[in-house]
Amino acid sequence: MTNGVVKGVHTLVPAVDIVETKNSYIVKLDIPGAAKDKIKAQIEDNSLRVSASIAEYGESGKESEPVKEYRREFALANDVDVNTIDAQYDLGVLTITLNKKVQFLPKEITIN
Amino acid sequence: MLVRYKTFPSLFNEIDELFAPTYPLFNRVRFVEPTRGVQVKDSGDAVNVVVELPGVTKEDVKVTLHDGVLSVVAERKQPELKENEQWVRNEISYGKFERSINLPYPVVAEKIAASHENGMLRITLPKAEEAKPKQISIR
Repeated sequence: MTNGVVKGVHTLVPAVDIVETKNSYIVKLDIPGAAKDKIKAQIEDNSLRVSASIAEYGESGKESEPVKEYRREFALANDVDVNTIDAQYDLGVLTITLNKKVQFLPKEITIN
Repeated sequence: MLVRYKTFPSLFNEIDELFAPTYPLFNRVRFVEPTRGVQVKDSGDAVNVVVELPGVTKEDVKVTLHDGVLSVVAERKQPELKENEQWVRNEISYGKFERSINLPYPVVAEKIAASHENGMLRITLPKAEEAKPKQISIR
């Protein structure tokens, strides 16, 4: 079983930081050296799956075949709104913002 | 009666273990070492050095060459949590990173080129003339 992994490619698990804010979860993954179009993030079976293949640059500036790959998967709890996910890639760090569903947000109740 | 309500189940359970049986791939993956990946390559006319520095801005990287030793000093700043924010996981290490590499060949200091893109620092150090490979013609 190859699981879609190319032979001879190192598979790495990116380190992750997750911060919970009032309205969201902010997930940061270290994926240095990826071209933006080689990063995949998808929601499937209530899981967030992230993968990225990293190529090397030769002298000609041309990309080589992928030399390594990052993969990580997270199971999502039911408070995540899968329709408003935002992802950004900057400085080799992929930041994914998962918003909480409205009904899970803390509410202030006014006392009459 | 009021029952203490446990906050929502943790978003990120210990999934890695959970998925291990379904994804045999996860059994043989290698965790990224805490020391950043450093690669030194001899490309004939130059020495190429690649250092993984995710999350580090250009301003926070310093590269120096002294006595044939290339030093890279970088700092990744610890994010500050605001009020109402809390860690769920913290695997990324922050702080100062320093790495010195003994260059295998003398290089031309004036012609060193460095770029920093997508969290990768790439330094190209052209070899000094006497260190370049020479073709010897056979008569």
